[in-house]
Amino acid sequence: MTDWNKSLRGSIAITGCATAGIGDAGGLNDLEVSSLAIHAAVRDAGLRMEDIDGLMSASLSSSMWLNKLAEYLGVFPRFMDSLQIGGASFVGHLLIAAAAIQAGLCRNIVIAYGATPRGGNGVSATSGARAKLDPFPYEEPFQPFNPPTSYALATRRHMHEYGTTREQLAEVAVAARAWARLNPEAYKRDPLSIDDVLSARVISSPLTARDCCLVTDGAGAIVVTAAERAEVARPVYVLGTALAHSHRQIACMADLTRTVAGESAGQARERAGVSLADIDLVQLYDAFTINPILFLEDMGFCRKGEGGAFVSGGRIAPGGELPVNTNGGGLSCVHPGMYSMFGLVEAVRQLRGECGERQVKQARTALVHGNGGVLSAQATTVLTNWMD
Amino acid sequence: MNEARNGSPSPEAYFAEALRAGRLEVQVCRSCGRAFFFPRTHCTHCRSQEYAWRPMRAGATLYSYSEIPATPQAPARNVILADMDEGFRMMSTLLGPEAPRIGMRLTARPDPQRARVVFEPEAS
Repeated sequence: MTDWNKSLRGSIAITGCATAGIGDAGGLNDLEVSSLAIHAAVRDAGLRMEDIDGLMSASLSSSMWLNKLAEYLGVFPRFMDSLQIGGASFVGHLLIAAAAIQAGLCRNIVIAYGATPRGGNGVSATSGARAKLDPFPYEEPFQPFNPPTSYALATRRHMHEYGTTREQLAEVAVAARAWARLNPEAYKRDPLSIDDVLSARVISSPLTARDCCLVTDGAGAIVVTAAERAEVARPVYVLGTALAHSHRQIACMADLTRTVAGESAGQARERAGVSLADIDLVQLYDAFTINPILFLEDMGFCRKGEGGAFVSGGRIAPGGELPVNTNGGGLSCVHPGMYSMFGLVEAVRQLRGECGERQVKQARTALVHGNGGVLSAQATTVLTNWMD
Repeated sequence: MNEARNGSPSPEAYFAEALRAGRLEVQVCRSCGRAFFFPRTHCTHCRSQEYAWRPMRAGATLYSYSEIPATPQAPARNVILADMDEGFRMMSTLLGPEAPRIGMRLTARPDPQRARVVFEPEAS
């Protein structure tokens, strides 16, 4: 039995990263926008496309996406994996990538995601097709507007049990927008107030449109390689990654106020050998405003039920005690169907000190958390720019 | 052993058929005696494959809810999670004029036309 702490801690490094088509990709399709991000990430890693012998990605609509993507790129990987657990997938890919590289299955893996729901395949076109291919017979007769309705059910229960308020939820969206205003790449950069969030159109009560992530185009890619072969100026080491899963349908979630993010984050930190106090910045999958509240509680940044108060008063906004979603997150920066790839890219940029106005000072260690489905799958990784 | 050939009908198909016939039924494990939902091949509590279909008890408590405004594609509706007295939870909708409220008592009934379980406030 391999012990992660001995064999995999810090064994791989992220040596390249890039984004493409963030926000509006101008009519590019998913392959095109992915290709742009991947070529740029490989160049950033100081590699040639011929050096890429591992490919990992996931798609919401293509059943053999990796075959298509490898063909499009003209690469011939000897390691491929397409773990698809929703938006958490790309953080999850780091777990498999570490094992694959350590096992000698390949040397340089590209992990990528790109989609263009604005310009290419629209959400309204794909959601009906997806419902036919992937039925939910115990949900569909009630026409939940999913995913928002499932998160709305969790939000309502959290408000009921802990007194969490609509204003506290809105603080999450307002903090995300404040970060986005410092990020030239972010899609939504106009000012946003608590009142703006509360008075926005109701999507699925108690959530309004501003409690919900954007629907944008965008692609992101990272290159990972064995840490000892990381020949770049500023490698970002993957200290520890972990997965946890609890359900697929929201009715099968035992307690809607408690996710298994505590398990994935706890195990990722244990594998990484870091405490919460060591974390300088946090990238959390903020598909809805309730998500960061739940994850901060479940990970132990505050006690269960106190997440609403924790995120208030600008604590997770620029200048606050805990920098969260410093790119503006899925709420204000980018959200092409699945998000965690963009949390990874932002953490790498922060740890390399490339973030300009939004740069977190002395950023050394970042926690990146992906969420998939409807609070279903959780994946956490701890990244650092400094190996002891 | 070819497990599919043991003569049991598809749990999903059986449940929907019963609803269309106006019967609200649930799988009850012969090994541990507990009800489980949604319909599956094995008991979710003890993993036994031995179960019987029994009439579902209609009593429930509302666990959470969301109200969805009308759109050009669909009418306004509510979606609820009902905690059944028999120990499982299901997604459904609350019918009638009363607004959903966490903790309110509910009664389940079959909706044969749409092969679904719906809820009304428990008669006081």
